[in-house]
Amino acid sequence: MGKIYLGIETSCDDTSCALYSAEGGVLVHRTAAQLDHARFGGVVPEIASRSHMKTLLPLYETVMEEAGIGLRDLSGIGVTNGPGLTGSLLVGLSFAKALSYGGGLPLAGIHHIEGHIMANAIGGGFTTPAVVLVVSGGHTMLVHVAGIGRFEVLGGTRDDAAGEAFDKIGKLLGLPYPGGPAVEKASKNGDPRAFDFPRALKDSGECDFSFSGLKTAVMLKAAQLGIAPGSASAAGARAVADLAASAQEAIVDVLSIKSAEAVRRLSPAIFYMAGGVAANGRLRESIRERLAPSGIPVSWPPVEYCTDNAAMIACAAMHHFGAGRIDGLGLNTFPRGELASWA
Amino acid sequence: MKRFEKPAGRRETITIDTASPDETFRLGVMIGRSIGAGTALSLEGGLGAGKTLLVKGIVEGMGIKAEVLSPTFILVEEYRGEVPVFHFDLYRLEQFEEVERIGFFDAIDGRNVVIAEWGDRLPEGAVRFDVVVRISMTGESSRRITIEAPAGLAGKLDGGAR
Repeated sequence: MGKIYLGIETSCDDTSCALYSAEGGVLVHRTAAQLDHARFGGVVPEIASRSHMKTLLPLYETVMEEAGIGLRDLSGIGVTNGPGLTGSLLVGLSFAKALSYGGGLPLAGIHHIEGHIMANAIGGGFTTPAVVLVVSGGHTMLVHVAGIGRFEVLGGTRDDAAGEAFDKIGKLLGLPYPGGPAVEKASKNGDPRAFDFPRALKDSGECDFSFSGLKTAVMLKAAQLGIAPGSASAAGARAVADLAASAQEAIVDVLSIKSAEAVRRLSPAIFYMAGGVAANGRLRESIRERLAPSGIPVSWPPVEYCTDNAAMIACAAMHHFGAGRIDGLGLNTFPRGELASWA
Repeated sequence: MKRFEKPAGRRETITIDTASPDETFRLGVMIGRSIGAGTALSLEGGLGAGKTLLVKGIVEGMGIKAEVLSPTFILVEEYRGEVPVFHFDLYRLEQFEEVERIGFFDAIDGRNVVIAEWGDRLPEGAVRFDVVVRISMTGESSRRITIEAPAGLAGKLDGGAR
């Protein structure tokens, strides 16, 4: 099975652990939400599943048992050490340090965004130079990856993240949570040209985004049409579908225009997507269309590695170790901070 | 349940109408210039009302150069300045314990300015906010903003806005 790396991710809502090897790919990946509840002595309420401290040890034990390996079989540990909630990050980092010290294993602190980017390497290689669009609930940015560990942030959102816009628009339209998949589903029956929603900063010539105004525009239009969340009438459903499709089109349009702009500027060897919104089918289609004239290939990770996961952290750690970069036990967390190059 | 108690002084409520996002931002700047360490603010108003925009203004008014983004997903952002600002977003939180766990009550320690978007999601009386800002939409870009604050501060804001 070759060298096996453990990944730990606790930066936000969920706790997850994964084992990754270059030869076998992702061997096991589990999140607290999927755990066998018996280990906790009963059902885990939502709140406890978010409580990283209670879930991390049983989660680690589950993952190791499933792979049938012990601490001595590991070759290194990767852990998200920022950005995120300090308390949550500390739980993951302290646990990773203890394992590293106890097992005499190398440790790598991974920037959450680097993890998302490296989710593209889970299947094998990672081509550089690359331009990567990172789109999730908490982040929206374009990153130039000149080589592994060499990052330049080209631009990001000035207010709401794209995933946040999807979620809030879903909520405004009375669609179920999470809003991203719900808006995409509702859009399938709607007309993306029904409403001309704003494409903020579309022509700014920069790689920056703003989605706050779109949210307000959708809300005003919904109010004007008398759409109360959850309105059951056929006319209401049609209008919700049109609003969802038009809002999605506005988000997707801006994301793909800016992506094309970044590609035009940098002529990378490949364009990658990362983060939960990379699972959106219309976004993938639109980026493919916009980038087609450039001839530059477009790629994204499997859906389960688009959202927050520990497999991407284990994979990123493997690349750190491969470059001879090891963090000491003095490693700390950082609540916020831009993606910086380490290579 | 932890409570944050403050001696109750005379409070006043003022109403200010803004005609554009720029005016709303400038009102934020004025609020930022008028408050000091230990102030806890609650920002209330539906999706798209302009809460984050107001925070951008407040942070600028406090003389902090920081990029203010919506913390809905990351739950809290900290902006470092002479007086640090903790910018919380309680939109996604469902349980009171979650509010404690993200460090909301730890941040209210008299040395910081704490801003809570969706502060009205907290149970009644859980926190006594010094300043409560309610934003309602009166048009596409116009807003009616009511500010409930200690009398001195309210008077200063009311004077500045006219």
